[in-house]
Amino acid sequence: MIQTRDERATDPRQDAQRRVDQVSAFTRELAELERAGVLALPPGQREQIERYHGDVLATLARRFDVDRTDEQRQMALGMRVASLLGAVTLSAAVVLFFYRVWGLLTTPAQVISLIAVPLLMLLAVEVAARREPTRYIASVLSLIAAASFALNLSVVGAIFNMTPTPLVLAAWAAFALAVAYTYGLRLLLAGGVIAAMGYGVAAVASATGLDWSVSLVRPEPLLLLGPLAIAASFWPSGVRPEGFARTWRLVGVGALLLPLLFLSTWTEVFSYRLLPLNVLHAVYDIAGFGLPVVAIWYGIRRRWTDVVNAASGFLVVFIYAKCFDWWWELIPRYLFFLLLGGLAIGSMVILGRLRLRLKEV
Amino acid sequence: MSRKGLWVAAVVVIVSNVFALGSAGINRGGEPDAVLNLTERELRLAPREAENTAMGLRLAWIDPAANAQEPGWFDAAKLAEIGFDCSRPVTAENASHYRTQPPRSTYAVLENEGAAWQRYLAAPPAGAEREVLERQSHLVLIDVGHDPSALRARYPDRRRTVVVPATARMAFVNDGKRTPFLRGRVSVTYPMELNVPRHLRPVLESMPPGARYAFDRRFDRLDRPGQPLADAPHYRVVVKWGRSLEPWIESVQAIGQTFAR
Repeated sequence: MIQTRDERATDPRQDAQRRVDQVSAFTRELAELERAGVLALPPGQREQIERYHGDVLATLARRFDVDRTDEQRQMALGMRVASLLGAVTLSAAVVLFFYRVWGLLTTPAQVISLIAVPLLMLLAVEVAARREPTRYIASVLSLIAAASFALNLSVVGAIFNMTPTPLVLAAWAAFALAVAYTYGLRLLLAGGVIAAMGYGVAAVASATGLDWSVSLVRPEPLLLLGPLAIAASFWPSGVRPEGFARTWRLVGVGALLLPLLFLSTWTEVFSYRLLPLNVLHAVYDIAGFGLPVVAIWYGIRRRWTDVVNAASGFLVVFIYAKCFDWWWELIPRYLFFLLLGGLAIGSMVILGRLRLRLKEV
Repeated sequence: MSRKGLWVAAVVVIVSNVFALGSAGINRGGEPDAVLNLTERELRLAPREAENTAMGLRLAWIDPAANAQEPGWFDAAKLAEIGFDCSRPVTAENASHYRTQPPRSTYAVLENEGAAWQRYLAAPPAGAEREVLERQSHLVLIDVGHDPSALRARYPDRRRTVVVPATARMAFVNDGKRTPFLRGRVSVTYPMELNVPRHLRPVLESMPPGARYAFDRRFDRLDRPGQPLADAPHYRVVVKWGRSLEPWIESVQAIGQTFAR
């Protein structure tokens, strides 16, 4: 897949991995050409190329710890899963340990330890990032830092019996985004963007007098925040870690499309009702069908496979939801399921054609 | 790679905590908004968990009109005052309009052993025994509103009434026998649990395990054979509410030697 400028890696390690993959692809294709009799290298030149590539691969492996074989790549995937599990379990351990001991501490000791832990974890992240080029340990520690900051905000509020406020979401989002951009951590980026959107939704609910803790029953602000996140993926940035544009896009598409499922089906429950209900019903029905189609079309043009997949998946679920909404009470059950089955087969045909089209580009 | 983000994250941690601690300091500075003497009836020990060594007291209050067959003081007018949309006729056709309205933030006024409590004792719900009622919390919900200053002006007794942040819900009551009506209720007041600082825990920790005050002997589902319930609360708590209407526990004292054995 040809990458756009926004998706070009700016991380040296990612550049190195691309170079390794390029060398491997060249080596395999050269062997195929020679086997087919299309190309025959002059004597000595093969050895020269192999010597050169050997030096390049050895240097890259030593400096950036890149994966040179498929087995190494699979192990790298396993390491990512292990690091995620490690981060979750260690974060739980930190939080539960604090709950176990905090009642034994005086109030000043509680506050000091709550503030110190996320700061110490930030320091640990920096030390780990400097020592380990792959940053698996750094990513684990950064998630623990984020969890400890969330604990910090939550427990300080409990100690002083404070009224809950959505500002904690804004603070945590700022923390997560700062750490994510510093160390190129996409999971933390996604968490930070989601928390920022949560703050936006809660702030609007709070401003209208609603109890902000149930603000998800009014998800309409996401219809503005989603496109903002998608727009942020286009933001030109001198140094943006690989995958960040894709993460912004995916979170934005999810924030834009998911609320439509609820707003279209249960408008009276989930809408702020700024317009008459019948107008809102029509607007959300049209948006629910139209926006995913636009996302699929644009995703194909820009070669954003993830956006195409996400929008396609949403469209299928949305169509099913609307079929249930319109016809469940009107037609016999067997006819309803026959209709859904026909729609499923039709979806498969259309998605199959989309898949072929993606392959061609 | 630039490490500016690392410094930004550290600044976020520090600024957030300075803001939180500053807010707590402002809340506790100056004259408190309310000072109430409460007992175990109104502040009940939260269940202790092995994984959590913190200790909290849960504020308990009653709303005598909650299950009444009429709107009472928390009627459609009061609901509209705090922001609910009550513009449509209250009929079965508009039930969906009323039932789909989400809860709203508001302020609630709680009165401790005041006129509302005396009225409640004098005219108890049908079938309720006075002895049972007296064991309940003596903190009664008496009003709600958007403006805490206006509520405080209306209820100036700071030793008997407290204004607290709360969440209110609307109920569309239609039992088919009478005209539908709207009634509000306060679903939660904040904070739900008051943290007990370490230096105030000895009295509460000295209570024998299993010693419990009979909040409602008839409906107490926690009654266990072999664990007799006390007839009087075990402790008294002085709670202050500050400028931001956030409380703190000032003192905890044992009431005589009333721990049940």
